[in-house]
Amino acid sequence: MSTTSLSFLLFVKKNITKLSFVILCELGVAPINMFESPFLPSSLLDPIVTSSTFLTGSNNNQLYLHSHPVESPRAGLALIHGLGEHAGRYTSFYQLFNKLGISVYALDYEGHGKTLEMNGAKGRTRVAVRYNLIMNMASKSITSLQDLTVTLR
Amino acid sequence: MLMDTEKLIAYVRNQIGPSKKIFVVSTSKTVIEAISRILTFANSLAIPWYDATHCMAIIEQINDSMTNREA
Repeated sequence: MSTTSLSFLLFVKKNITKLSFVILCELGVAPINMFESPFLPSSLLDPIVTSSTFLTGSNNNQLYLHSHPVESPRAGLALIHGLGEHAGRYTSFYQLFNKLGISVYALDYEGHGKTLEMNGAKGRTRVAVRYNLIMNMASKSITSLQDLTVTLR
Repeated sequence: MLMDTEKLIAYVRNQIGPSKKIFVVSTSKTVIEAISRILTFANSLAIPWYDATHCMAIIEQINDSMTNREA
């Protein structure tokens, strides 16, 4: 771990009582020597081995799949990332689960991460289309109830 | 997104086999609440994962869950 990064982490650790996950996740995209983290036992972490492929999504779109399998898994773990992030942020943590004999799989959802990069499609556009569909459905539902009918002037 | 998640879980099920447990972990509170409602797959468990301090607790929870299952 670089001196600058270590100083930064110590600063953060000193100044806040509850570390946000985002800060630790940033470690996941850092060089391998940064795994000498004061927050994670280095013995649990090996160099990252990642295989990636695509999974066909519900719209027949290709979603980037982060695949971290182990031989003879005891269980499987599907990680679902949140809005405005991507599954690649959690790569270093997948190894912890691999150490437990758990195969890990995670998608970069539509408009996020490598799915956005590889498809070259603006996720926000599709989200907007879906938003309109939802609003249309909602407005039909609402106008069917007289009490909820609103007239815009 | 939920339909894509169902596909992901089905993919995981296919990869690990029918008898193994699947843990569905999300860093999004909204997602995990939605997943919990639709999670009808056998041997599955939805777990929220909101911050780093929660990370080790989740690993312990998963490990305990598997240990109990295997005992």
